Amino acid sequence: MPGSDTAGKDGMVPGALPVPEDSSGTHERGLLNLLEDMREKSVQLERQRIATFNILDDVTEAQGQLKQKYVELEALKDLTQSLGRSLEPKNIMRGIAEALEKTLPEMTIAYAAVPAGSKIPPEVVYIHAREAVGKKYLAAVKESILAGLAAVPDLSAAPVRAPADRAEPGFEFVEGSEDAGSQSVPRSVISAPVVVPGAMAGMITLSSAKPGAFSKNTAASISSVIDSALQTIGLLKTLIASEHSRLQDLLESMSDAVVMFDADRQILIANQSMRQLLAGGAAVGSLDAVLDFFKRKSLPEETGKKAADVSEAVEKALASAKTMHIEELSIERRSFEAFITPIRDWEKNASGGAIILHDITHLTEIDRMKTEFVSVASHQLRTPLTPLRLFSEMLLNGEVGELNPKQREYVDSIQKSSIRMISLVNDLLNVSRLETGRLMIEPVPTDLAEFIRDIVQEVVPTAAAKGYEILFNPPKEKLPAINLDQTLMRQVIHNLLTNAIRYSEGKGSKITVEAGATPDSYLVSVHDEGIGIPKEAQPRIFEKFFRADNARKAEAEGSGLGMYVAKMVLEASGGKIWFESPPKGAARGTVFYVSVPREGMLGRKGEKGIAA
Amino acid sequence: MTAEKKKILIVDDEKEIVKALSEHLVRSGFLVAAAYDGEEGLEKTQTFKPDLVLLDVVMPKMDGVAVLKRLKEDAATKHIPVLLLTNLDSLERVADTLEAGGTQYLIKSNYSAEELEKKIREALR
Repeated sequence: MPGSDTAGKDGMVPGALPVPEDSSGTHERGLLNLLEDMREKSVQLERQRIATFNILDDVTEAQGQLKQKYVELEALKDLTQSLGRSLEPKNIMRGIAEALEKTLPEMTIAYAAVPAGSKIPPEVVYIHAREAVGKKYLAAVKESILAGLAAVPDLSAAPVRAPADRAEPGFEFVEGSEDAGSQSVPRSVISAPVVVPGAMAGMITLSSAKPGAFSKNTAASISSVIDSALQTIGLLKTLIASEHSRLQDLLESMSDAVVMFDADRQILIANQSMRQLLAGGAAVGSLDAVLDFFKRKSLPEETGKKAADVSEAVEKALASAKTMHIEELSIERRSFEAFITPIRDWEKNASGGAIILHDITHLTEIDRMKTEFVSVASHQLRTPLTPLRLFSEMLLNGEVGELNPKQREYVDSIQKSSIRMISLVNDLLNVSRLETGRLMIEPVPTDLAEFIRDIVQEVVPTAAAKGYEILFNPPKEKLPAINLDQTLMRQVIHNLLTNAIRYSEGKGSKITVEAGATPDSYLVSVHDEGIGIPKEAQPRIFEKFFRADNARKAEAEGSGLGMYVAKMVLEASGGKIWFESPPKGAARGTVFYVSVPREGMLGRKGEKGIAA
Repeated sequence: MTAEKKKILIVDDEKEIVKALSEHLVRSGFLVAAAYDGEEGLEKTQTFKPDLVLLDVVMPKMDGVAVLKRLKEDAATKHIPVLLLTNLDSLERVADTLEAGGTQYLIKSNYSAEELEKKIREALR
């Protein structure tokens, strides 16, 4: 530095500038300027330093605000979800309180709500305590809440204090608990109203025993959360109303009767068709009233049907979360098909269900008309057939004189035709019963071997007359008694035997009948060596009135319903009928198999089957 | 010593049936009377005192089921065996009560004259 003390013997400092002898004044001015520069630079640096720190402060504050906003948003998201679950006042307040907790974690939060227009003070004040709160604290909080509620326009008519006969609101601690020893009182308090017009009015109080616990941002946060909540509530309500309205429109347009109920078994919606159905009875209030109505109106004594127990189906549907189906239930002489379906909310919890009734009265009416028609027709047809049969038989048996061969021939033909017609009428009746599910199946324990042998015996003469042989191979071991409806099974086996005889060809042709057991069934087979069933005809053998082409010669016999009835009867009782033509390993012929399950034929209530 | 002829009363509004049955039964050695409606049937039961009644169901004035009821209520007639002959496919609700009361009901068109006679003889034993 100039002016340094390390000048040498000759007055010169090493490395220093040569100093003219008479420039000491200029030298001083140079030094002063330099100092000035340095001082200025230093001040500038200092300013820059301060400015940088200010920027850092701002950034830090902004960051703090962002964090705060983020927390708020998270809280609002949770709040929205919570509101979506339920718009009950209690839930709304709680949701807001929890959102505020996240944004203002040190505050003690208390709240209470009453339904809109209510003049009654709240029953409970909920409190999330974040510090020790004693009786004094609680009393102060309660005051603040009640005072706040009294100030809400909706409730301005409400008393601030509870009337003498009503209990003061009690406290429920959602968090924390009462600390009996604490003498603290709230020193920082903010209260905010939460009003949903037409729905509820609530008051929320944030407090702390520490004074000055609120910053200028606190009030803003609180407002922000409450405003968002109210906005969300408004939107949700609009959405719900619009969905409800769409649903209502949809349901009203349905001809099916629909009733929807909630998890508390209260009716949510009953569409017009359902209201009409219920018009006779239940006020559409509770599910149980509706179920009771169905039960009473099902008129079991009149219709002969079991009393409609929709209740059972409802319980099953709710318990198993599956749709239940009732094929037919009657309500006041109309018939319905019923579907009961559970409804689940967005969290997959059962939140009620719906009952849908589909009117099938016209279908059951058609069935009834069909039954009646067949019944009347069969009676009318049988009436002239009876004397026709009786007289021709009496002519044939010679009790009014002998017939000459030609006469015998003709009368025989008349008699056979009348028998055939009678069979046809009987078969039509059975077909009608089968098709409307009214055929009764009455299995009784039967000795299969003996049963089959009897039927075979009946047709032996017919076979012998044509020169055919019938063989019966009984089961190898003695079988236990099997449940068979003898009338129906006799008809089936008899039918198979007559067919075997009808379609056999050539003298000495053998018809073999077998009966036995397989691991899971009992089996009867009828085997013939006759003309067989052509391949094209095979898929259609069990159709009504179907005749294979090669069976033309047998056209005049049988009703054409035998195979159809056999198949229907066996299938209705749990059995099977099938055939092979030609049988495996043979060149010609046919074998028919009839099987019933080990448990025997399944019984069914109904009208007695094929007339004897 | 010839056994006394058994008396059969046929109650049926269809003249053809009555003719066929009565002529056959007479040839088989029965005494036969006929009534063409329910009321006549009841009257003739009192006067003819049959050993068995063949009773149709669908008849004017009074149907067979009503006649049967009256016959069974009357001490004088309730022991007389009755065969309900009908061409109705089934009398579902009535059939069970009938058969429980020991009355058979037969579908006419399913039987030949001889088979009917057999049923009659069985009922008379």
